[in-house]
Amino acid sequence: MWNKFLTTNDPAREKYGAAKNSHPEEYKNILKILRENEVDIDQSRPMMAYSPAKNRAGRFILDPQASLAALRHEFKHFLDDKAAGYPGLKFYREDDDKFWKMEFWAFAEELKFARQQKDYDLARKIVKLMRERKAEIFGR
Amino acid sequence: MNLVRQTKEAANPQLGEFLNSDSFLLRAAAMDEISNRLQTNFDDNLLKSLSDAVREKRNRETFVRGTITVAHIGMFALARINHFKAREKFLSLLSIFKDADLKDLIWYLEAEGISIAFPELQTA
Repeated sequence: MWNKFLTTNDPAREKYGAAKNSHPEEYKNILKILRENEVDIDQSRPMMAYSPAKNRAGRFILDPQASLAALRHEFKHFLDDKAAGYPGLKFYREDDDKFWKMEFWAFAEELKFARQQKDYDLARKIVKLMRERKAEIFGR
Repeated sequence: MNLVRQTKEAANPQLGEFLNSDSFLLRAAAMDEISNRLQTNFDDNLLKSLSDAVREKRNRETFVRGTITVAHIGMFALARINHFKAREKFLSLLSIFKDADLKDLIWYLEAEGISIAFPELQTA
């Protein structure tokens, strides 16, 4: 069952720690971009998620303890949503291939982080999460 | 695959099967299509299928994107139906959403442009 970036779905967190500590400049920069784009930032619970809204920026659930990999994943969802013109969730979920493509590119951000660290064990864990998500999307 | 086309072409019993799909996107698309059909041709059995799907545990636990669950999409589908039975069902189902889940539901409905005409939601 997909529970977004709870601790168990943020495999980089245990080894690399919170993005705000491991990569403070990138962390600050991402938050700055989110605020400039009037994204609603919610830090009230321990999860990472970006929920799209219609005709406006969505809501970013930010766990201050999340890793940079998880932060980049959700930030990618925001960037893609902005590039699409904030069409609302229905636009994305009408086509499973389109939906998966967006998930794929968000996971690719996490894989990029693993590659930068030359951490192939982390990459394997991310690929496992990708496969689980893909199975839930396509139902197979 | 275009899920809108797939669900539009389905007969009512097939839509029921889609609600049991392992694909959460197909389940959500089936909810949308049931909502469309109920708006033009109300049917108690279809309404029951939709409300049962909202109650289903896996739909309440599966996030589609962000904090939006399949069950939230089912509530959105119910909220779009202009029929008193659908409104009653919507209000009765509200009680299954608690705390953050309820706030996320309200946020999603507003994000989709649903104007909240339910006083119960405004005070939740």
